[in-house]
Amino acid sequence: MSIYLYLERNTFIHRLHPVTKIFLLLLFFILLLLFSSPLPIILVTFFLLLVSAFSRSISNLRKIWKLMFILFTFTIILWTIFLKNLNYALAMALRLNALIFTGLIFLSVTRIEEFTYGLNKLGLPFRVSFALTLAFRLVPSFILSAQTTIQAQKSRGLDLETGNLVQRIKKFIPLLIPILATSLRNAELLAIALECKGFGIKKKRTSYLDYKFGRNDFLTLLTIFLLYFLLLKIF
Amino acid sequence: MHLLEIKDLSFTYQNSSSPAVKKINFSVKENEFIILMGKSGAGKSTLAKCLTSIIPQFQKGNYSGKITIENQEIKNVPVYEIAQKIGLLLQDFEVQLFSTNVILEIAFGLENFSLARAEMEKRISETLKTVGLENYLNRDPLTLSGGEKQRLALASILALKPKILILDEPTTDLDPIGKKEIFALLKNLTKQGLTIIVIDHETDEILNADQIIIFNASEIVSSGNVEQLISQSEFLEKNGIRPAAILTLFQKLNLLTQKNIPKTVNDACHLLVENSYQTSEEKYTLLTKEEKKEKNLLFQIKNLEFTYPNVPAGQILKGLNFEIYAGEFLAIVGVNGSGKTTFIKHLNRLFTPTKGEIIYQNKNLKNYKIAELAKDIGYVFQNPDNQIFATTVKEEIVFGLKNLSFPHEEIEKGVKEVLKTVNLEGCKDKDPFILTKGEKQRLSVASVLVTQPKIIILDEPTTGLDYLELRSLMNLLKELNQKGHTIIMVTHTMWLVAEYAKRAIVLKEGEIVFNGSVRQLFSEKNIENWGLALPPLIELSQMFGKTLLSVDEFLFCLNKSTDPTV
Ligand SMILES: Nc1ncnc2c1ncn2[C@@H]1O[C@H](COP(=O)(O)OP(=O)(O)OP(=O)(O)O)[C@@H](O)[C@H]1O
Ligand SMILES: [Mg+2]
Repeated sequence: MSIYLYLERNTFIHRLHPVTKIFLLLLFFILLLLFSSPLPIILVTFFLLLVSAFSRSISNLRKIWKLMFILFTFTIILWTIFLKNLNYALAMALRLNALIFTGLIFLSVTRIEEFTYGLNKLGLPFRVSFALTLAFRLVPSFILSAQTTIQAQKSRGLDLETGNLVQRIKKFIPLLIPILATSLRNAELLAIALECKGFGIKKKRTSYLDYKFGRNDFLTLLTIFLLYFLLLKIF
Repeated sequence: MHLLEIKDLSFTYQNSSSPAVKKINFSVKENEFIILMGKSGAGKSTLAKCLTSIIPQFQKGNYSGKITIENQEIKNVPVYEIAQKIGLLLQDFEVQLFSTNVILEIAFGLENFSLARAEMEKRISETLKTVGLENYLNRDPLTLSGGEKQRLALASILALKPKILILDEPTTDLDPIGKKEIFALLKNLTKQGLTIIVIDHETDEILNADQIIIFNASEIVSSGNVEQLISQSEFLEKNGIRPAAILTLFQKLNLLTQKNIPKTVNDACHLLVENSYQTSEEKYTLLTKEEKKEKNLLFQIKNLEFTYPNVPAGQILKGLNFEIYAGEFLAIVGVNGSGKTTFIKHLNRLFTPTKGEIIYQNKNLKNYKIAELAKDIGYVFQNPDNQIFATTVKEEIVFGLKNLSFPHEEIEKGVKEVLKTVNLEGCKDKDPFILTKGEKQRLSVASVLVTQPKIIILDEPTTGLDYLELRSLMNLLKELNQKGHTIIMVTHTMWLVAEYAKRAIVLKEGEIVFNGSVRQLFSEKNIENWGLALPPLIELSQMFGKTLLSVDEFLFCLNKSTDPTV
């Protein structure tokens, strides 16, 4: 399993300016939050599927579809119980999935450093944009060190292979706490290491990554805006 | 004027009763190359952190004394300001890596220093070349091998071109050739105007330095030039430093005098010949005959292939074929990234072959459960940080015993004994996180040894250990081996292979390029092409046409020629 969601591809969507990508992310989030009936959300989801195919990132969808399915079912059940309105429950579940899907596509086509760069270009101070995106960087390294720790425990006789799912999860949960603690401590060390490389110097920072806002960005944003208003008009 | 001056520096960590460094005084001139040595836990890393104001900026405690860089006191200067003058490579290199590819990892510091894009490009390609990672540009740092990670962490500091470079054990996980290259590079950098301070345990590289500073129990016990110190074997050993094997040999032969210090292997050879020493053919034949071969098959590796999924690294193991016998002491060696760790993780089923199979005791390994294998096979991970997870030392050790359902009395006894063996008796209730790297390393070994597995696999178990710890660990392994345990050890330390292992496998780019006895390995001419290096002592023996693996073997074979004409 690859530990980052980012897929190194050279598609039209990958090549968009980070700021454009962030805008698109926000536009879709807002759009999805505006709707509360299933139909438009299904339409948006289809559009997202197209985008995902176009950016060759369907493979990431395959990684998390199970999770999405579970969330979907749970949301429907919960909302139906509480509101007794199946239509609304369906909309909520679809919306949640579409939101996750949007985020997933964003992370599949945007390197985390690009994300930082984009936020920085949008006017956030570097420290802030770095801190915000650092969370995303730490997730894969967290998963990886968790994997190694679990390997270490298995190699010392911890049996995670026998028993049913519930039993296995029960054995698994207590492991997460020490792994989490280690990660937090490592984050502390990372903070030190960052300053050793000059993180925090008051001078203006330069950037290795360098993107130009081009015609494609402009056209993409324009198209999306048009679609946006079209959808809002209809529904 | 001194570039760097340390006056009466003492520091005690919060929650600790005794100082980590005590009354440190020394100064550093421009272009000096200094090596800091000494026992694990003696305060070397603490000093390095003081020199960059990490202490007291990040880690609090009781600080006294004064450090100045170019006459500026640094105690209250933020770390990132100091970083413009001093580059520090922290000992824990894995946690420093956070970028999504190798290029951006190095670029991060350069961006902070506001370098222009063109200059960044130049430095990135330069430094990647010096550390041998020029073919890894787009790799995700998290998917690199241990040594590759260390090279990258080093590169990200070198690229900053600071005036002073402080490296805390920068080559622990590097292969022998890589180690040599880095030290040659550092030496060269001092000629270009850099000042370098390296913390290290390596004796073979010591001659590169201008000044050696030796720590013991938080204090500097000696500092001086290399030649003065290098011949004082006993003193070195007492302070956790391995005396050069050739010097030990000379001392045992009573050849060592103040003016008779062999600095190179050639010198040593001349001196031996001058003193009419020869090696005896008969005794050498005795030595080589003694090597017995183990016969009981344990593992049979058949066409083993492995590829990491979804990573552009390509195929890692390319069809390995060999056997491992019960009771062996097997060393697995080879350059960084050659697939050693990847391979041994197959032996207890942490990894499953992409193709091919492993037969363990007449049954395909895949038919065993990992937990079942854990009874037989102990595995010590390359980086102890990955292995340790409990909140006290004792809990960490007890974990395996409990999983394998040892009875209560045995657990208590086992813990006690193993703590004694690895010399961590005082640490029983400590939080493993605050242990030094060497202590963590010993803890991870202890937590595996405590269940007394028949087969013990160790991935670079001696990194970060000082000489005394290293000897006691290796002697322990030797004892276990003599009792019948099978030892499989990955290491980059060649003299360890020579002294302790019996058979060696050399991996290169995922293939076996050598499989034979250790003596054979060190008589091979290709050894440098495999990224390995000959220990100086063995080099010396080859001048006499033999391959002698230890000081004892040398002493055994040496004869004083009685023929006065020679
Ligand atoms: N999780 C991973 N995903 C992808 N590739 C990996 C992963 N771990 C290691 N590799 C790659 O596989 C190759 C072999 O790695 P391995 O860790 O087995 O090397 P090694 O011989 O143990 O090296 P070292 O001496 O540095 O520890 C390397 O090129 C490495 O970059
Ligand atoms: Mg390794």
